[in-house]
Amino acid sequence: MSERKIPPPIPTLKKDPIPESPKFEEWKKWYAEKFPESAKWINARKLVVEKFLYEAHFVPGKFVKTRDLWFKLSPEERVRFFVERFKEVLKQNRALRLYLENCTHCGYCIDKCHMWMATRDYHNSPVGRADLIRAIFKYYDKITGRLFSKLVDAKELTEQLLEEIWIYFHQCTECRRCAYFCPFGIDTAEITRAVRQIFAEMGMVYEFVGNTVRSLMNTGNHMFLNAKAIRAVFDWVEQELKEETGRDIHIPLDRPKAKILFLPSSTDVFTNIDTLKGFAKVMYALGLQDKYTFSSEVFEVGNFGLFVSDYHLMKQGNRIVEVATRLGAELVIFGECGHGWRAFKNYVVPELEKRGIKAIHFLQLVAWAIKKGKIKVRKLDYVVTYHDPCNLVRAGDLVEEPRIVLKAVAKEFREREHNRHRTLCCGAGTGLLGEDVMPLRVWAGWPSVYDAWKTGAQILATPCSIDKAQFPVVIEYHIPGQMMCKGVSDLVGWAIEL
Amino acid sequence: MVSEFVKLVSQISAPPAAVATAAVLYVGLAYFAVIVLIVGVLFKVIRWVVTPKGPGGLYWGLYRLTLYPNVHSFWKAAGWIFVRMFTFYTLLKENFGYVSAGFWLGLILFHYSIWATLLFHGNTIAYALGMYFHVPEAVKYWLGLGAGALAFVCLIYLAIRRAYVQAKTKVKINYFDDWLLIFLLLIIMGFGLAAKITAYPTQFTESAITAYVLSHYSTGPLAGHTHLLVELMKEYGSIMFVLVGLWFKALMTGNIHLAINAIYLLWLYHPLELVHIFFAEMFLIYIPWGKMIHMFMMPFNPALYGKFEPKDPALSLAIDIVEGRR
Repeated sequence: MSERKIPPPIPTLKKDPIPESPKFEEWKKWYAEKFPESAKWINARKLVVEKFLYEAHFVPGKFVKTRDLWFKLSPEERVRFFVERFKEVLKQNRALRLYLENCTHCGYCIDKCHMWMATRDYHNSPVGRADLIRAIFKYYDKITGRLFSKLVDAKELTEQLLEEIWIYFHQCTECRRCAYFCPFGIDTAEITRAVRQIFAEMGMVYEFVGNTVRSLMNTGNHMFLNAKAIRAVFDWVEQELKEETGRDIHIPLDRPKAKILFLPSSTDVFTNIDTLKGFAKVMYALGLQDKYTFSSEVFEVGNFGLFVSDYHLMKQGNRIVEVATRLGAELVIFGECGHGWRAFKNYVVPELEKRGIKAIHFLQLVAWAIKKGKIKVRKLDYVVTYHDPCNLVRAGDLVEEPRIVLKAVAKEFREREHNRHRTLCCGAGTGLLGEDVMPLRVWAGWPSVYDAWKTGAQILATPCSIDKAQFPVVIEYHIPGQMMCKGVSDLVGWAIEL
Repeated sequence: MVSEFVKLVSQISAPPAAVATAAVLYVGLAYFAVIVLIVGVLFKVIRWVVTPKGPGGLYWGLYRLTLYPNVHSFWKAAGWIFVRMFTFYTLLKENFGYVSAGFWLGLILFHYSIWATLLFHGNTIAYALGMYFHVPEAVKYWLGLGAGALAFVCLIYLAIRRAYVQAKTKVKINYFDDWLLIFLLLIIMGFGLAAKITAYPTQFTESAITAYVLSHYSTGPLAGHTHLLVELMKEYGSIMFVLVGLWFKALMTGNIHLAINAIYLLWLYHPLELVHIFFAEMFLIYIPWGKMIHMFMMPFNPALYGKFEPKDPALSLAIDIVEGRR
């Protein structure tokens, strides 16, 4: 790794942050010159339903049973649809109504939001973003909103306002940091999910997410993988494991009647091979090699449905339940993914429980195995810090287990300043992983990377696939070569003694 | 003593304009405000409760929105809600070297002093119900004044902070209704404090009380009842307190004549209190329909009250499989 250099400063909020804020506009200009086709990156991100998205079930009317709008809507129809559906959703969604009614505008959430820190944009803060919707809520739900609209900032929905709602609600990463800090616990992510749901029902999704969900619906994973492709990678990884360890470590796929169904991230057979190796080595060391299997039908822990609609979330969740049930599995082990763990923990686990199937996170198992001496690990010659994925710590009841693991495998473990509940989002949550949002990504992820960099750690460990896709980009832009981003299981794989 | 004063108040004949005004603003409106408050809050709370989580009984596909880890029972979730409600502790969490200690202090002092002030107001209602809790007049004066003044100062600080945050972050967080609410509170507190200050003598000795009664109640229907008023002030601290208590009692018993006369006397001797009462009525009407409803919100927030299933059973099963027991 190259020598540590002083990176560009993150705004110190203690002082006046404005003059020191990241020069987002300048960055955007530079980016526009370098990538002219992405100059209008904000507007380029919209994807209205097209024929190929039909496969991803983005068909208006398909999951909004009361309507049959079919394919593209005119701008006027979109406004009309949004208003009507918003009114309905207010009656159907407790959280949305509660959060819209109860914000006192104290502004405490503003500087807690990494998106605001990155952009300093009026509406790119939790309260500023929610106020876009709160304005139409006041107009359509309150008498005073219509009578004194200008005084109380109530607004009738227009095409322009809908465009703003589209933009800003697709720049919320649903990390829920604002919900933790908010004195009332107002969860802006839930407002975002409701808004995105309505957009999805109109057939409008962010392009990167839309393509990913299309794959998820068709193949059960985010990467358009079929069984043959997965097996080919497994074979290659098995050979590498043989060379590394001298052991015959088999990675099973679609083994019938396995007791354990293992769910990895589909990126584990692409960019995160070390994560896959970590899984395989641990399962081998625990003597579970003949008792578990991966499934080509649900080769995915991630669930981009969480970012789009309940329909897509539940469809993928039900697929996992169905495969586990069909397999006769007693236990489902979840690999490394942040948002996927939220969808899994809060939808799939209760559904599995109904069928008598238990579920556990891989790191819970590893933490237990290390504590009980069931696997032996050596200390790696690295200083490691840990990034708490938002959805693990603020939505998934998983906080201490990764720390137990990292303390066992690292020469030194250093806690970040903003840890556990206060963890900072990676800046690419909700699938903001496209090239077109690169300016946003590198600045939105910078607070978290900076927090890790300050510890002096060589490795930023995180059990989240989006983090593992996002952090290397942020590191490369701000502090090239000064820190690595790896999965927690990667380090376990490196440290385990077989 | 009190019955003698009630008799005195009942015998007063207020001018027709005063009767009409008092009947509308301090009888009709008072009943209306309380009804709107109760019905409005119930309406809001019931609507939160009866509004479904979402389609299929889930929050857009999720069984829960639990924000905290290690919450495996509703009691623990209730604990978090309780702690949040009474400590505002998240405001003390550091973010990039910054702790909003001033905001926290201002907010917690504001809320606690408001509650203290309302508790002291409760003694007026207690008096009306015949359950008056005797407090030495000096204690009553300084405690009430202190709590009210603290709330007033904190409110000014919080209002300034609002403007500062907006200027600093360039995120518009203040709209007309925000300022209206703050203005309303400032009026209520300001006039309440002013009324209290003017309703008490400067010292709490008998001679000072007598001097106050002689100067303050030298004209009008209460003139010439010095002994009675001095005795009442020694017992209850101020005649204003007794009059407001009588007004409450009259409203609760439906004695409209007594209520109007009490208001008439307040108009003659303590008009600042009437401004305080009027805006307090307005505030009660406003509570259910604006952001003031936030005080009832937390127990219904799904991010706070949810719970996870315990981790141990799944881990035990995994251990059994690892150790070959299954």
